[in-house]
Amino acid sequence: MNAVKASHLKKVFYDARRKKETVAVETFDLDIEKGELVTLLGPSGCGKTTVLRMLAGFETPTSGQIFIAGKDITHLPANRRNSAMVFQSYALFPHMTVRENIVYGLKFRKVNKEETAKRLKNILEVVGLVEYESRQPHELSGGQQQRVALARALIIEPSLLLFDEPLSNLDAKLRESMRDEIRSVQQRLGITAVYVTHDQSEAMALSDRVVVMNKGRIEQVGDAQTIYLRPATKFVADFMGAANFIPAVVSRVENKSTVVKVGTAEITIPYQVAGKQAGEAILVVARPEQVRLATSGTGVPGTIKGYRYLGSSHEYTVELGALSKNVICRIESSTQHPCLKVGTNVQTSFISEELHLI
Amino acid sequence: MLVKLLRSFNKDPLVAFAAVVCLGLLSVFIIYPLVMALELSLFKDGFFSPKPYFDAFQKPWLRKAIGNSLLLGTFSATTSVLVGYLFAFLLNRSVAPGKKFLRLMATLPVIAPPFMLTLAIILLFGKNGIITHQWLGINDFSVYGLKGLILVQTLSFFPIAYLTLDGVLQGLDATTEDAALDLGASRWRVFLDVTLPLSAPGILSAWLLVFVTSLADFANPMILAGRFEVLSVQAYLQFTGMGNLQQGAALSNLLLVPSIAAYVFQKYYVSRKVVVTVTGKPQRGARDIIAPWARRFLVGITWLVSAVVIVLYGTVLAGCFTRRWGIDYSFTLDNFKYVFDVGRQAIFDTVVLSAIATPIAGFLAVVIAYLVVRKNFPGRKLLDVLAMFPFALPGTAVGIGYVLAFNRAPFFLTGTGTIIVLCFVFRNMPVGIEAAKVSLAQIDRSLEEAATNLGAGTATVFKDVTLPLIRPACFAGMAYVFVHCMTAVSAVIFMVSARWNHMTVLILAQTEILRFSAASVLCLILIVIVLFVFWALRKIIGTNPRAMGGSV
Repeated sequence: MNAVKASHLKKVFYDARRKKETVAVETFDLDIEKGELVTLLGPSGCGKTTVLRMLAGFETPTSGQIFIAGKDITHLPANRRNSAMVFQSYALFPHMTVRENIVYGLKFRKVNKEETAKRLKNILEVVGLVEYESRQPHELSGGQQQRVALARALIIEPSLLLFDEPLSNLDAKLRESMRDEIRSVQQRLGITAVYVTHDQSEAMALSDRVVVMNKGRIEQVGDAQTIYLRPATKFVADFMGAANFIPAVVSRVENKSTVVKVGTAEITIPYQVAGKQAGEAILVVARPEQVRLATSGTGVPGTIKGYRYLGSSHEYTVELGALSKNVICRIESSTQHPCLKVGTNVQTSFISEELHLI
Repeated sequence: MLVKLLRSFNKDPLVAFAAVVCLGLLSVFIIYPLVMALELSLFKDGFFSPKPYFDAFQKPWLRKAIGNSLLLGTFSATTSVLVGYLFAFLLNRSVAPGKKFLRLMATLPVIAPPFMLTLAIILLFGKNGIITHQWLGINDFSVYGLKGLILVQTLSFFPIAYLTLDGVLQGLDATTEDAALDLGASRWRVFLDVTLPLSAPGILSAWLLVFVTSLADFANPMILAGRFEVLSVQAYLQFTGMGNLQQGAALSNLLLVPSIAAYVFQKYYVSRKVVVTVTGKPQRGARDIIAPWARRFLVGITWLVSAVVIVLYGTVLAGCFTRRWGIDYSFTLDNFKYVFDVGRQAIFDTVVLSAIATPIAGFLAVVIAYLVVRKNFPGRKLLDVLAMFPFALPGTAVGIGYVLAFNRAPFFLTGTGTIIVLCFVFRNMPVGIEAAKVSLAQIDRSLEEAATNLGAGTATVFKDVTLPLIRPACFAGMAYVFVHCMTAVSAVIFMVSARWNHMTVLILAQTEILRFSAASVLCLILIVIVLFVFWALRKIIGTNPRAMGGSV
C-alpha cells in the first residue's frame, strides 16, 4: 500500500472578475512510498503549489481522489487530516512564543502534558533550538524561524509532511545548510514528504524522486539522475539546468545504440531510441559539461565566439558553422586545458555516453 | 530648534521658508485658538480662577454630562467595532454573495450629513413617528436619550471601524490561519487562537477612533439626546445659549482631555502594534475559512444592518415629499419650494465656502506632506504632529477657540466668511495630508533624485516630478476634504452669522422647529451635491488626470 496516492487530480479555478476558468492542475497521478521525499518541481504557475494545497486540504480537487494510507481523504477538511505543512513565509504565530508555536498542533490531538513535554524537548533537540523556547518569533533569525516551523510540523508526527518552498526566503548559504538539515531529519524520522520548489538544484539535492510539472501537467517523474540525464521532454531538459539542443539526423538505430549525424560528424549514443527511423530529424541534448573542445582532431568544426571565467569552470560559446548554432561548453578549472582565444577555430566533440536524444 | 531652522536657510532656503510658513500658520490657526480657550477658562478679570472646572465636577448637571459623554462613547465604540468587525471579517474571510453591495453599505454613511440618520430615526420612532405613533399607536415611547444615540452613532460610525479593520484583516498574514488549520485547529479555534489575537491591536485602534468621534459628535446628541446631556452639547449651550463663555470653554477643554488622550494612545502606541505582514505569495481564489453556520450568521447580521441603513435613508427621502410628517402624508413638492426660499443662501454659502477652502487645504496638505516625508529640517517632527493634530480636536473646542481667538486684535474675523474658510482648511487638512503622505511613500525617492541629479532645484523637482505623480491621490484626498466641509457642523455652528450660513446649521434649525420635511430636503440636496462632486472629480481624474493641471 502506498503512503500517499493521488489519482487523476484536477483543479479548475474560476476567476469571477474575468469570468474565466483556468485549469491549474489536470491528470495528476502520483504514488508515494512510505518514507519517501518527492519534490514537485516546475516554473511558477505550473500547478505544483495547487497540488500541495490539495494534499493539505486547503483546496478541494475539482475531480480525482487523494488517498493517505489507503484511506480516501479527498473531502476531509484540512484540520482533520494528519498532514503538516511548512510554509514559505514560515507562518509562525507572531503572538506566541517558540514553545507555544511548536506545541500548538498537539492541543488537537489529545496528547497529555508529560508526552507534550517529552516531544517538545525531543523536537527542540532535533532542530537545535533548545535555548530558544521562550523567545518570540520576531526575535529569531530567518533560519531559526524556519526551524520552528519545521518543529511545529514534525511534533504532531504527521503521516505526510508538506513543504511549500520553505527555503526561498533564506539567503543562498543558509538555504544549502537548511536543505541538508531538512533532508537528514526527514530521513532519520522516516517521514513521507512532498516538497514544492522551483529550484532544480534544490530538488535534485533533496529528493528520492522529482516530479517535473509544466502548465498543470506532469512532464516526468524520476530520480534526479534520470531527470537530468534522460529528460523525457525538451521542457524537462531545458528546466533542469543549462542544455544545448543540437539538431541532428538519425543515421541508424541499432540494438543497444543509436547513431546520429551532427553536420558531417557521426556520434554513437549508447542506447536505443524508440520510435525513430533512419533519416528522421532528432535533437541531441548535450549539457555544457558534456561538450569538449580541441584545436585539432575530429569533431564538429566551430569557432569560439565568447569566453567567461566562472571560478570553478571556464565557459565558452562556440558557433558550429555548419549548423549555424551556438553551443555552450563548460570545462572545469581543475582540468588542464589550453586557454582558447575568441576567434579560434576548434573541433567540437561530446562525451557521447552521457548524451541524450529527444 | 527655531534657531537651527533659521540657520538651515543657507542650505535649502525654499524648504526652510516653507517650513517656517507652515509652522507659523499651524501655530496661529490650531494652537492659538486652543490657548485662548484655555486662558478664558482659567482667568477671570486677569486673575487665576479655575472655578468653571470645579463647577463642572460639582454641579450635578455638568458632572453628569461628563459621565454621559464617556458612557455614550464607550457604548457606541463597542457596538460600532462589533458591527465593523463582522462586516470586515465577512468581506475578507469568506465567500459570500453581494460583497460589493455590503462594502458599499459599510462605507456609504461616511459621506452622509451628520444627522441624517437621527432625522430618520425621529421620523420613524419620534413622537409623531410613523412606526411608533402611526402603526403601533404608542405615545409614551421616547427614542430620545442614550439608546437612540447608541443606535444612531453605531450606524453612523461603524464605517470608521470597518475601514480600519478591513485594512487590518487584509494585512494579516492569512497563511498563519492556514497553518493553524493545518495543525488541526477547528475554524472556530483558528479564529480564537490566531485571527482574533492578531487583529486585537486593530480592534483597539478602531475602538479608540470611534470613541473620539463619538465624544466629539455634536449634531446627533443635539437633536436626539433629550435629557441625556453630553459634554459637546452642554459646552455649546453654555457658550452660546447661556452666554457663560467661561463655563463653555471649560467644558470644551474637558472634552479635549479624553479625546487627545485616546488619539495619542491610538496614534503613537496602538497603531504601531497593528501587525501588517506582507507575504510574497498572493492568495489564489477567495479565502473561505468560516463554518457554514457562522457564515449564515454573519450574512444575516450584515444584511440586516444594510437593510436598516437603506430604510433610514429611504425614510429621509420619503420625508422630502411628505406634506406634514405625522399628520398629513400626502405627496407634495412644496418642501422644495420652502427650502428654496429659506435655504437658497445657506446652500450657496456652503458650496462657495467649501469650494474656496478645499483647494487651499489641498495645497497646504501637499506641501506639508512633501516636507514631512521627503525633506529633513529641524522641526520636521513638530510640523507632522501639529498638522495631524486637528484629528484629535472635537469641533466644539475648535469652534469656541476660533470665536475667542479671532474676535480681537490682531484678528477681527468673527462673522466673516474668512473665519469659516480658515476653520475648514485647518480642520480638514489632515485628510489631505494623509492621502498625500501615503501616495508619496509609494513613489520611489530615486525618481526625485534623478531629477535633482539632472540639475533641477527643489521647486522644479516638486513641480515636474512629485506633483504629477501624487496628483490622483491628492484629488481623492481633496474630495474628502470637500465632503467634510459640506457636512461640518460642530465647529461651524459657532461661526455662522446672518451673512454666512451653513446648510448643516440650517438643517439643525429646521429640525428644532419640527420642520422635518424641510430638513430632509436639505439633507437630500447636500448628498446630491457631494455625490456630484465625487462623480465630477472621478470623471476628471479618470479620463485625463492632467486636465486639472495647476489647480492644486
